[in-house]
Amino acid sequence: MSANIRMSAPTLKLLKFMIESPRQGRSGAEISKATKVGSGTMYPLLQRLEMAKWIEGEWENIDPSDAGRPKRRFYKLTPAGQAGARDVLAEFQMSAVGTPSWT
Amino acid sequence: MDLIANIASFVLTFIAGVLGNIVAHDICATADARCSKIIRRAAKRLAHFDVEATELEWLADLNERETVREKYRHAIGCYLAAPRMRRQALTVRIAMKFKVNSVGTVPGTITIDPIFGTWLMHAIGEQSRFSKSLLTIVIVYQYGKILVAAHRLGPGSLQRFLNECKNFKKWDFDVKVGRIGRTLDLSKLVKVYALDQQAGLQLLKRYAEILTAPTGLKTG
Repeated sequence: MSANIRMSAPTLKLLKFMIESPRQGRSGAEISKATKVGSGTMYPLLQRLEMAKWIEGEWENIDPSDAGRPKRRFYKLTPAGQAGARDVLAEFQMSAVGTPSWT
Repeated sequence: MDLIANIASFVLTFIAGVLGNIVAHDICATADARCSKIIRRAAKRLAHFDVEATELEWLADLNERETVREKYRHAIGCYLAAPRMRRQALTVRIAMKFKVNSVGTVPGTITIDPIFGTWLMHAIGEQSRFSKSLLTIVIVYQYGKILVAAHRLGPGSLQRFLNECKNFKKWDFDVKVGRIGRTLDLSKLVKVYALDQQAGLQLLKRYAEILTAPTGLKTG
């Protein structure tokens, strides 16, 4: 499956961030802030990962009029995505948690 | 003379400072509205089935950006990302498996992005000499890919595959075509087309209608 996803530096950063707490949903803004990947790169990347079924998105369960803000969309890794991300990060010698081993 | 020049420069600096402050204040005060406008325009550049949901998502993410610089970076980023996302969303992938007697299962994949797909449709409809030549190149290229896949099955498999090409009506086909959020099994259609081209074309039209119907990952 990983053959369909180009493993660029932003992809690895994103996967590394998401594998740190795979069950926690993250909004696009949160991912962008943590990984320092700009919106122009991040959203197409999220779309590609979602198409490959590595991540799944779900809408925040709030009423926008009560909350006074729009609903956010949270992304989290699927079981296939978790396995794939671990393999890919191991291949690129990046530990799933902490700083990359090559720094 | 120096005194007048100094006074004039002081006044000009003061005016520039005041105007600069006003403009900066305006930029900050209107950042949310301007960025929302940029995001709405960006969303219109997406595939039609993604517009509404993605606009909501981007606006919610804009709400999470704290500084004016972050807001503008996010909005411009969305604007630049939209065409790429449109292309990704509209790309159609065809996964094929030809089950051929005495050869085995020969796999093949075709990826048709919207630009190529539109051109292909025009080429088929136009029937000009140039488009026919280009179409022939595409078909030869795809056929070449299938031959390479047959060759990889083992020694002598390519020759056996070429021999079996005459009996393609007896093959079993496993063909799936899909784009984001939608997959269709075309195995029976291809089998029908192999046996009766006219009936196959009628079925193909129906499948094309289903594939172009609005759907997307975010809207389910």
